[in-house]
Amino acid sequence: MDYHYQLVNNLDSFKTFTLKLSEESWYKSLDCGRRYTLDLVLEELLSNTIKYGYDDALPHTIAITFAVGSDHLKLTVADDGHEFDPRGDYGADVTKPLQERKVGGVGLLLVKSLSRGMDYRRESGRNILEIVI
Amino acid sequence: MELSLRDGENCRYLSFSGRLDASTSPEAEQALRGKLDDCRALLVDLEGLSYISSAGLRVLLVIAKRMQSNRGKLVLCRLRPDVKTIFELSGLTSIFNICDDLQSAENAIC
Repeated sequence: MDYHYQLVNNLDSFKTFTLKLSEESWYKSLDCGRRYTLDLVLEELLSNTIKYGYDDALPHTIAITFAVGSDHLKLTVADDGHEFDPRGDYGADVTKPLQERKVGGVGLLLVKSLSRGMDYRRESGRNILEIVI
Repeated sequence: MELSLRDGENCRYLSFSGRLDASTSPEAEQALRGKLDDCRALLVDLEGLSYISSAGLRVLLVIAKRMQSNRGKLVLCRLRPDVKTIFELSGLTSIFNICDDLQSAENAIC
């Protein structure tokens, strides 16, 4: 079963989207671990796109589709922001000691670690990211 | 997200509950601004924390850097399994002193 959502590129819209998601019956039926992973993947990806994906101040639509199966959940995020393949090596070096550790940069690392599969393509000026969790 | 900060006999106690994420981290940072400047021993109880993202980890990393510059002690305790997994994946278990229970944390900080 597929479920489709849209939000615009600001944090208020993201908050509204997550609130709506938390009330959906398919979301509530997920086990706690998968819900945590889904929340985290969405937060890390979408906050990244909202903060760094656009140069202008115009509203941009971000489309999200969830394909919910009995043993898997596939999430597709489509946006018209800068071309960005999150599978690249952008993560923080998690082996550095505290004094050398940056206070940010672990978000994409967490997404990669918690995903069972990631696929990316640039298509008609849009980033299309598919993640299986 | 709720946080509380109180002084104990041997250390200061900070506890978080709820969700520490991109939405709530700015208010946590704001609430703690200047509150740890003189702190030499801080015990952070995460028993009530149900969710943490990289934005929440950033709050704890800022606290750790503050405590390091204070030359103070910092101990975290009572992380829920999902939260602990996020610490492990981020490599933060090697940076933080993490105890399973409150008593061990109090022993570690004294």
